[in-house]
Amino acid sequence: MLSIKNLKNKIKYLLKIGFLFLLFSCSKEPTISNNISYLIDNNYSIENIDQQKFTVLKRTRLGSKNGYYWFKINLHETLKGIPTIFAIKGNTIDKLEIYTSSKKTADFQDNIDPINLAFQVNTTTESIYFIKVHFQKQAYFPLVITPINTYFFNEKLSYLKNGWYYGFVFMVIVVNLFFYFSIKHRVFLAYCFFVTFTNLGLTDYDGFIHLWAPQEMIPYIGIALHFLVPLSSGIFASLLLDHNKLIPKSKFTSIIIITIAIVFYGFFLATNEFIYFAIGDCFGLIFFTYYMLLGVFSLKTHEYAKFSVIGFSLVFLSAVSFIMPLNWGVFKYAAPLYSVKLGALFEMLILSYAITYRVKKIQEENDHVQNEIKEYLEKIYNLEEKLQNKESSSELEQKILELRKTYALTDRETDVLFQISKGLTNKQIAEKLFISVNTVKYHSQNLYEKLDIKKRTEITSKLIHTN
Amino acid sequence: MPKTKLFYFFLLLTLLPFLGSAINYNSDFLSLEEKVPENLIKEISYIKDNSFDIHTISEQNFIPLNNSKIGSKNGFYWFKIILKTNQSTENLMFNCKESTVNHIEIYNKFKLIANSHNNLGFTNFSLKIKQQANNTYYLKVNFPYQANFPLTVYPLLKQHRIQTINLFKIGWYYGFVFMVFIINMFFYFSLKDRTFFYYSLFLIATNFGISHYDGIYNLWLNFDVLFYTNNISHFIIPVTGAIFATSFLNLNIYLPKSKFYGTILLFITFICYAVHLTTRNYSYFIAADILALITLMYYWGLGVSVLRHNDFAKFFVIGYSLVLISAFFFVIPMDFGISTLSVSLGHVKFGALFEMLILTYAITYRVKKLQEENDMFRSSIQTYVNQLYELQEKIELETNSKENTFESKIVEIASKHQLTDREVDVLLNLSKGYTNQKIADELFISLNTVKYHTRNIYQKLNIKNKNEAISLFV
Repeated sequence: MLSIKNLKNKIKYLLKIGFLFLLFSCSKEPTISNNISYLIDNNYSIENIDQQKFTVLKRTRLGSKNGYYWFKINLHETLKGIPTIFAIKGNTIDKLEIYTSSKKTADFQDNIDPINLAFQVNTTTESIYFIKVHFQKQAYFPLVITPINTYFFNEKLSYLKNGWYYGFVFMVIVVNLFFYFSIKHRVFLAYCFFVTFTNLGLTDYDGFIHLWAPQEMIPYIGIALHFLVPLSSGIFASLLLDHNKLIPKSKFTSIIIITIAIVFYGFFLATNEFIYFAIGDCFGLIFFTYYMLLGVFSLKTHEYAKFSVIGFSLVFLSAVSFIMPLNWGVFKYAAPLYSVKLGALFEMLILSYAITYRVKKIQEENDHVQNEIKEYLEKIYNLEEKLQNKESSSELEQKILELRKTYALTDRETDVLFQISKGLTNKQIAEKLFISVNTVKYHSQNLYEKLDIKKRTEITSKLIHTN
Repeated sequence: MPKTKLFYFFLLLTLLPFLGSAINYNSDFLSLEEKVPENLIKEISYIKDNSFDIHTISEQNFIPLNNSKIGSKNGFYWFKIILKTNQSTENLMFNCKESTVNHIEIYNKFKLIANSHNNLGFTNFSLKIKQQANNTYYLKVNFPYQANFPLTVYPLLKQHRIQTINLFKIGWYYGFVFMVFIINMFFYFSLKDRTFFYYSLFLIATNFGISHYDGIYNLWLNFDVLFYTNNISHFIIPVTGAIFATSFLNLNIYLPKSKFYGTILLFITFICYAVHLTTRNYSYFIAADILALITLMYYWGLGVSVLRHNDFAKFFVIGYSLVLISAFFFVIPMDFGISTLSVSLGHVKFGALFEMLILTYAITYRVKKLQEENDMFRSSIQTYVNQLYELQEKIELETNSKENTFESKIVEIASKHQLTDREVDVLLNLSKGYTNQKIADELFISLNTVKYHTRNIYQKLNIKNKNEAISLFV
């Protein structure tokens, strides 16, 4: 017992570390070494752009206004005159042109990165670069300019890490599927869907969506995933915590929230105004919050609520701190994508632990029930024996009943006398009658007094001589 | 039910992207750059170094290299490479996928144009060079282990693309392994069964070994350290495998002697690796590798032999068949330089994935059994409770009614066949299905007396055995 308690404490400790790690990972975004300033496009072209007044870009997230932007880059000294890569992560840019000295040096077609954006630019002594960008969704411009070798190295590391993450996710899905097939409980299947949608949603942000989705479908798939994630999470939570039974009205509220979200996503598709998309995301997060609160309410009544609350809060926390600054560009501090993945990783670990917790419960129950069965069997044997004794040694019983009449024995004393006459020890008698040894001794003492005997063996002679 | 089928269908649909991204996405990925031609190597040939240098090498006779595997003789080799002319690209990348190579020099026209210090690779050597006017390049390469030289030359960007995909796959595999490890540790903590722990150990050992072939550690560790870790990893695979197999298959119960032979095999393997560590003679390493494989196969064979006794042995046998075969055809041709019948590391990993999936399924199978047991216990408790009530009722009835049907029947038989009192007692016990010995104990008479009485009873009742005696009362 002690070791299990220790283990629980250790796990709690680990969870706390996970939380802290997550909080710390919501750090300040990387500092921009090159001077970047921006301007919202009002039909400028490269000829007249350098006369305009640019605003200095303090953070990479510019908010929810989508459309054309111009960026002016003052290249850092160390990057001049070497082959460099202009790399921009994110899923929002669909048109881009790079200019230097009033000449176009790179176009969107020159992208060398299949999952994000990267343009090879052989920099000259010129230090001013203009980039014209069209943001399809949120205005997010995390431009990183690095020498080509550094870029290749970082890319490789990033692929390795992402591969690791998605391999992990894949195995989580497989394990849950296996459990669904063997235990036949829908909650495993719902969890599979939740994990799948969440991580497909993440591929939209890190660009790996280009590896599995057809190019022209990506914007629609992205939107579909944005409401499938909360929807599947709701189904999973209500299956795990029996919301439909315990809080039947919860279904109604959740359907309303998700419908509103879908309506807003529809507005975005119709008008191409990103602000509707951002509002839809807010409703998705409200949906999440709603189910988290339901989980908190059922903490006392439901055993598994603690797992879902901890797991959900991790995902929720990282999702809010990632999506809100990205969509609205309001907060100074924002979580990078990897902290979202970290949150998801912890959530998956916790819910996998919940599975083993459940299995442990089954095993404990089995042990318990097995003991119970043993008791029942013993009782049954006793009764059967009693029945047989009644049949085969009714003579003995008759005699004992006679003794009972003549010496006015109590029921219990008669029982004990019967067992003694069969030659059982005190301990055996105690076990047979489900009483303590002391009680047996007490009864047998009374018995000796009433029958006026001193030793156990005298009972037999008493029995023989009754007739 | 059609509803569940629909469920599976949707599930399959949602999982496909993951599978797709993991197994086969090269085509889509690379099609972005159609202009790029295939591997630029036109001809490659080799010669074992006999203290040549760049000035004497061009006069030597080179042997054409058809397959990347040269053989078990380690040390320095020279390679002569003729490239296809390609005007479209300026930068080329030489990439050698063999992670154990620890030294490369590239010469063109008697000039050293790149060496190990210019490495841009991650898990293996990849050297960036500017395309030279002369198409013939000479490479000097050191192989501390097997001489295996899978060289590819591509334009820079394409080589980068290929490597990133490769790294994604490598990462994917280890992420998968990590989750399997986690789930086994969780089960070890919750079910307190050592087998899960041993499996985790075996998993770590195997993948520690595989990751040496991947070259994952080339990022952090230098070749001297890797020399030791590689030997250690190769040795702990059969050790942990043996421990895991013993625990998983309950070999101590079914085949207690198996431990002895296993220990002997492991001991010889250990000695071979130790000799390799001290003498650095590569042939001991090969011998040890073969012994390690034999040990693993020995345990696999034990798994086959306990198939009948152990419910879980089938998972073991099926799971390890693929990975063992692939490991055999990976390591042996690699060590000896046999080009036919050889498989790639990808196949070994596929075998390992398959094995992990099967053994994870074994866990859920076990959980399923637990659950079934649980259901069974519950239902049997119900029947026992019912039985208990019935018995109690019966007892109450018995105490009320003084007539005992069983006894009356005995009296009837006794009077009909004129049995003695003693014979009646014996018959009574016989009808309960007791053995002669038990009857003797019960009636405080000798075994021979019981036999004597039973014979008499059989004669009097005209029956032949105990069953007939019992049937008299039914």
